[in-house]
Amino acid sequence: MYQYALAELPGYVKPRYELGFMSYLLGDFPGALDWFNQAAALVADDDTGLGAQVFLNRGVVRYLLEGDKRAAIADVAEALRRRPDYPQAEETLRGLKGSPRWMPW
Amino acid sequence: MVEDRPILQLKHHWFPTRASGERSFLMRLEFSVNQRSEGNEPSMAEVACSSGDIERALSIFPSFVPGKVRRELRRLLRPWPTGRYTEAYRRSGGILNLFTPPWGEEEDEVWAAMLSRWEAQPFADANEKKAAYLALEQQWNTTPHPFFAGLTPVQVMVGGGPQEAELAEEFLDRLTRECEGKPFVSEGEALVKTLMWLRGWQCQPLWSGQTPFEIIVAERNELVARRTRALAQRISVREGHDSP
Repeated sequence: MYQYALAELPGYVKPRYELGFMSYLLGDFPGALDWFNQAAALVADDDTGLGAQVFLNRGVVRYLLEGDKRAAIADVAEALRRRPDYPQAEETLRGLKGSPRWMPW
Repeated sequence: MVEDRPILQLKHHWFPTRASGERSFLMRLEFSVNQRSEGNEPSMAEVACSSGDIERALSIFPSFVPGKVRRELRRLLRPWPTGRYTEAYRRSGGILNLFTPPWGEEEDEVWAAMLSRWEAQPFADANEKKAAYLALEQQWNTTPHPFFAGLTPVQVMVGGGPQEAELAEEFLDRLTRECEGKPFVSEGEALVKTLMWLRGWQCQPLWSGQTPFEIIVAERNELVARRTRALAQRISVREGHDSP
């Protein structure tokens, strides 16, 4: 259904974000990163809602897929810049900075 | 004299959905067909491959095993087809796929895309077209599939082994500790939470430095190799050659 929405709404962030999140849940990390990258490229600079979710989830997937902690921290920081009161992002940032073996559990 | 030690330890696990609890039964059966007994005797699956006799393989199981279980085991032990392993849609996919909803041919966008590329290609004749189709089926069998959590259909078909069984137990124990008795707004919320934990857990390096995902993939590849060797042994005996 989201694929159809995507065809109908080519410039929209939401279906790309949802497809990214579903790919993540299915365990398709490369697919998820691809969708989150597309969503991040489209998201407006002042989008504090969905924009923050896009960057938080892209950060987590980058970390899980590539072990790229620096890129993950940058993404989560971007999520917090957009939405300073975002407990999930705060917790993720603490985890990424605090423990060498942190995982989103 | 009364035996003072427990002889049967019952264990239960929490599952976010009824379907995942039911699928865990299939997952455990898949583990059991790949389980080698004490003394490193061949597993049921290896016996079935090397003898071509499913009933002989099943004789390893005690006689009191229910008929429903035996039917499922027969299905798991059936020889694989020469073409596309569509039976993979009806396997559990192990712990990495335990909680995702069932899906099949109709939802398989990967196969649909491969098929439409094949259909769009020009071929010199029908034989060439058929050969390309057969190659396509093999390509699907051996390509990591996004809907199988990155496992290939071959890796799904073979089922998990003892290492995955141990990892699955560890994950389900942890999940049960975290979730049992906790309120969730909906089944959907419980499922999403579980999947998020699973995806984090599968990437967490263990003491060996390997992640559960890497261990699971390596073990499934080894199980495929063992079955292939068992099958090769049968073919070489049938054709009168010495096995390598």
